[in-house]
Amino acid sequence: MRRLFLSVIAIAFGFSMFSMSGSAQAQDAATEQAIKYRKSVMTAVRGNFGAMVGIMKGAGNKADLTTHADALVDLSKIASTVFPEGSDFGETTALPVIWEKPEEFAKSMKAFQDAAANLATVAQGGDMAAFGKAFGATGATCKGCHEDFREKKEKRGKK
Amino acid sequence: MTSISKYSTARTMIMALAVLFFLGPLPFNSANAAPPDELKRGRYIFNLAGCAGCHTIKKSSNGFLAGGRKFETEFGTFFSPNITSHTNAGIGRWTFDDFTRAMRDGISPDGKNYYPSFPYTSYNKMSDDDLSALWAYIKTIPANDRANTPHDLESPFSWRFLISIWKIPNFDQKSLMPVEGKSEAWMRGRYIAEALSHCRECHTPRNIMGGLALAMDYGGTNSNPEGIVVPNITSDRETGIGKWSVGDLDMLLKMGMLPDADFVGGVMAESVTHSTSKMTDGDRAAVIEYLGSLKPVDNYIKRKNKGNSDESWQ
Repeated sequence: MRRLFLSVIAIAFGFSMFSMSGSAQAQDAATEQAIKYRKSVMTAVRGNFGAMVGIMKGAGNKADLTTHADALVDLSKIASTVFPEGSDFGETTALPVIWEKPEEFAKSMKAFQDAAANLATVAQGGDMAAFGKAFGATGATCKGCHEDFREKKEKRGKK
Repeated sequence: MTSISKYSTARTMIMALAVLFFLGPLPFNSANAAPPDELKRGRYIFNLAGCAGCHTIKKSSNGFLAGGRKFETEFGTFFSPNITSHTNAGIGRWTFDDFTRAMRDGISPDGKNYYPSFPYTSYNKMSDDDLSALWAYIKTIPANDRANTPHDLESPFSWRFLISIWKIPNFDQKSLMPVEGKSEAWMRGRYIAEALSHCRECHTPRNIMGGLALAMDYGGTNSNPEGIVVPNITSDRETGIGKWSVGDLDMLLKMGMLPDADFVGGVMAESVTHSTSKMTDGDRAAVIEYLGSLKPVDNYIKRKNKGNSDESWQ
């Protein structure tokens, strides 16, 4: 009886370990996906930014500036959803401070969204000087956020 | 009795006049006496030299140049000092000679070595004019009483006298000599990059002693003493920025945008904010001309935050 009891405990324990590691794996996979998604969204932001630079430098059609600026407006909204809690582990350069100071981070995101919205409005007007200025202001929000929340840093002591 | 009193009154008056004579000019000569043009120039030098970055804790409203920013390095933790005009907490008692000695020799007014975390290894190449304009501006910084935090270093790095030995191979006291066949702009660019904006302090890897490995000048590193990844900015076409156009560099220095439309973060974002975006167009062009001429160094630096194309995702 005692042996049976022990083996039940052992099996239960083993099973719980197994299911725990299973859920940990699921968790890892979810985090990995979250990070991949985040990088893809950021790549899309970068793509539209680069396209606008190209048009400003004479490539493509000026009329398409609105398309890229509008895309940036949508992406700026999505951007605030790509930093779920817990996605600071793994292959990411997102700094933990994003989750430690969520209000500051939200403020940075809001600045990006507002700048992008303004950029899209200015793009409709077709005034290139004004567009350049709004473009610069939007870029400043990218830099501002990267300055505080993304760092090219290895963890100390890892090397 | 009256005559004695008259005499003492006269004496007091003479003494007061004498004191006024000696002290009088001081309030006008110190903080605000520098002509506005010199202050403006000093402020420009201040921006290009990037003083605010290290001597201010980011996002703290109470401490412009009051120091206290923390730098965790392989040698220990450094805290930047207060450089406001506060007489006790800051450098309010310094003379121009003290300032010159700090910037040129890396030595404090009480004769101690500064750690080269303070980039006097670059600032020592600053011209006399720029140094005095910078001093004129720095003296106007409002006093802040934030007390300095001592560095937290382990031995042997905590032994300051060793810095004297360190300085022998690692401290080039020479100023920047003209190079034959190079343009004015190139020399101006070199001066800004090496004396003021101290680009090398990050972009040149360091040797085992923490000195600049000049054979790899501007070649970047995968982990600097703070553990930061610093890109290779030499003209090497594969591992450096040899394929960048002048326009690419201009966008980076003006607004922090990289050629692939990503935006720099971390320390470089700060440098853009404090320094490079504030350069005159002429100075920025000069820096670009100089950077374009850097001898190629083959040193591959892994770029960590590059979307899904990051190698670790393949």
